[in-house]
Amino acid sequence: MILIFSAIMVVSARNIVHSAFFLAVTLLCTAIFFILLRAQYLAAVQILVYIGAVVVLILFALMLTRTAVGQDTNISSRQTVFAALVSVILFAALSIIFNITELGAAADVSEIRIISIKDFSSVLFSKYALPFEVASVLLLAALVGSVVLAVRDGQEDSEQDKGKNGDGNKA
Amino acid sequence: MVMDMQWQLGIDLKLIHFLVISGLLFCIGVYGVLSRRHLVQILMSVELILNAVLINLIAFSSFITPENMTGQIFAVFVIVVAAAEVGVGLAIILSVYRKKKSVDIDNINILKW
Repeated sequence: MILIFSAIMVVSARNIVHSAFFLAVTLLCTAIFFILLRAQYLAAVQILVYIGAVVVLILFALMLTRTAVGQDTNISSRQTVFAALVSVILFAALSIIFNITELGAAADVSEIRIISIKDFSSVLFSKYALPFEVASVLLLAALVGSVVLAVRDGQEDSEQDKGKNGDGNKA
Repeated sequence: MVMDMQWQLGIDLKLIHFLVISGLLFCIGVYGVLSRRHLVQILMSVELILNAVLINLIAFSSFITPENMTGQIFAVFVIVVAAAEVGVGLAIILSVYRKKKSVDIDNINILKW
């Protein structure tokens, strides 16, 4: 419930910095959901990557683009009704699909077996080694690309380097 | 990690609960993408959508096929791609801001013809 509330606050907060902090709360609740689903490693990764890197990067971008902090600058008015309509219709369709779908597992969440990090990593590095390497190449390409995009004028390169460290500590 | 704590929750959480939560999160993200006008806020809404997908993947992985953990591996790659996407997206936003002095998407129409 905290997750849904803070997610709504992300898209409806008037102050965009508040919105970024509510995003952090939302991501933390997602990590709690991962722990509830017995995926401890992914919860740790979620906290490290999202809350440690992504939220900090977003706050840096807000600071650099000098949004008028504290004022309700970006209240959209024209598309709100349309957007709410689209999302409500989407959720109704999803609910109908959930109702008519036979979910095979009626198991409780307490019956889920805990996956150990050892098994996880052995599968990741043996069976899925090639996608892992491709993902690291993708991270390298994103690093180089964003540095090239951001330091076109030869200034403000330290912020992007900071962001890239946040990305790079995953690989 | 081996300690198997049996949590006594008030309700027993089934797969459908996680699916509904993830669907709600996805719809909130879609609403944010469609309605906000600040570029960084649109990026944050995209993050919400990606998190909804992550919850979905891990829920299916834990409930349906817990033995080959494909969903969790896929979730790791989704996180990698999301991190790369945020980095590149914020770099694009910075360079657009430097060119147009604005982050309002109504002012960014240089791709129109």
